[in-house]
Amino acid sequence: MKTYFHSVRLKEDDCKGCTHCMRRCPTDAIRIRDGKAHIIEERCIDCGWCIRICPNHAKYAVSDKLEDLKQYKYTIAIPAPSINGQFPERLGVDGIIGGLVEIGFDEVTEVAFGAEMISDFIEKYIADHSDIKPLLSSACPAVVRLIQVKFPSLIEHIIPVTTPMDISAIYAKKEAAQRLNLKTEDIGVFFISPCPAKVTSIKEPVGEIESPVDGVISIAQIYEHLINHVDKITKRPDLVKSTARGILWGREGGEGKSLNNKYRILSVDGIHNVEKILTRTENGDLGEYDYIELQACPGGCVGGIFNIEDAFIAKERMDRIARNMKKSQYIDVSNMISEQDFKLKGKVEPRPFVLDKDIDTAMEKATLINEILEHLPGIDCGACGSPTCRSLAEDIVQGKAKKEDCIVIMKEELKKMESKE
Amino acid sequence: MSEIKLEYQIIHNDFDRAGEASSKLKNMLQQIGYPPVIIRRIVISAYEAEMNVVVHASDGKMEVLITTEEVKVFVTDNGPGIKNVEEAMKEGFSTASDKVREMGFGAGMGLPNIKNNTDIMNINSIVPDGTTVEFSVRREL
Repeated sequence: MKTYFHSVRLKEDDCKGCTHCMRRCPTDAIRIRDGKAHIIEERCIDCGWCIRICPNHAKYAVSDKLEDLKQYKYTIAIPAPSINGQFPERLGVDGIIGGLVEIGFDEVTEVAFGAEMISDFIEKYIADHSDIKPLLSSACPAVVRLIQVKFPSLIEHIIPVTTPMDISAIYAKKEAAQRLNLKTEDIGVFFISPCPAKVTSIKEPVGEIESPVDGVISIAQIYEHLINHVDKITKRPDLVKSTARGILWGREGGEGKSLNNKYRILSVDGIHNVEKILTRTENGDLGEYDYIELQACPGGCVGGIFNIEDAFIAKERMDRIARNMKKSQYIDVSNMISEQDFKLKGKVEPRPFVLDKDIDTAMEKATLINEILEHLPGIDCGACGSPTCRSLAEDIVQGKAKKEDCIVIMKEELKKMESKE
Repeated sequence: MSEIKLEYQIIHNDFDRAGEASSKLKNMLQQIGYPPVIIRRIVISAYEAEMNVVVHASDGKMEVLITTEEVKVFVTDNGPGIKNVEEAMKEGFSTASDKVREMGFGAGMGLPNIKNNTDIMNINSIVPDGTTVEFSVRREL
């Protein structure tokens, strides 16, 4: 079986086996076995919801470290737009860029700038593909993986456009290599990320052959370095390339608003809301929309778990920052970036959970599941270690659990034994 | 040869639960390994048929027969029946109220949409007794 790299991990010692994460996991990827949570790798989409919800802080996500900058002769930070909501407003976009330079990056290209290029490309794509409705945003990696696992029939609706992160990396590397006459392998491009799913995207890209990004540093690490001296950071207005249009990609609704308002666009945030909208899309119910912006985190990228600041506060800050910036700009990077660079190079493969590769066996198992379900209480309490009665039935059929794991059934068995005595 | 029979109740005007039958059917087909493109056609059709019952008819049910070769779906309700089936099969024809249309249903694409997405489709309707929409989709393209 293929093993997947995952950025979302468990600190076993801190896990109390409490079922919170298991019951909120959008892909049923968690089980509690022997009192500890276990992540089923094939199902995990690295959305980070378990990290958000764990009352014992036993879930965490890994990212690269600042020491990794030393591996490259020349380093470029590409900060996510949502970083602009993390610091006091007075630091500003130019201050955050200055902070990144201070930390040790040789230069900075904002992903907000790449996002503006992507907006232009998406507008063109929508216009040329009115036969596919709605097109689904490819920007949030957790959403793309959710589609692979739970909505594979919607893969053809995913707009085959690369992400703001990737286009920023491609642009920044090419531009720096030309300007400074450097070899591309000597340049390290680091994404400054609000999001563990992006860490996974670099190690295990979906729809891309190889990621153009060399490393991912969490926004939290940058925050730690800068927050205690924000007033001493040297601002770098000379390095600001973005406008409000790109900055607002960092919050929900921003991607949709960056596109021509002649299109009908839905903006959806929060992985469970995304699921509902994808279900309706799959039903063929949302054909009047041209495009759907979908973000796993509540509030959009500002709600990503590598952020420090509360998402509502961060959103308001970003809105204020954006209000004082130029609204949008004309970008011509055709000398640096080709049409091909904007497109996904690989295929997004379906990754549904199937009971068995052989359909006859799978159908027998499905029948068995329905039979077992009739004997289960149907209260989805999770005490057995599976998220729902249905998933317990699935686990039983797969030989990974037994009926006696159900505490309701056990209680009844106990009663029967007592009455016999 | 293995087969799976499923039955789901559909409740008229219950918009909270509307779509649940189609959703459960989709999950089942996904778990047994039906190809995504085929699942999409079945789900679109099942959802349309289910919504027709919720919006236009009375309480009803969806019965499904799954084999390794094909999926057959029967959606039955208890009335009031479709007066002119031929008319109802034309794209854009709808008897839905404004309220229902505001909710995004009743665009009059329902029955023709089922026809477009399935291999075989039949409607049997008697006024005022009810309607049966049945369709099948083969697993292989």
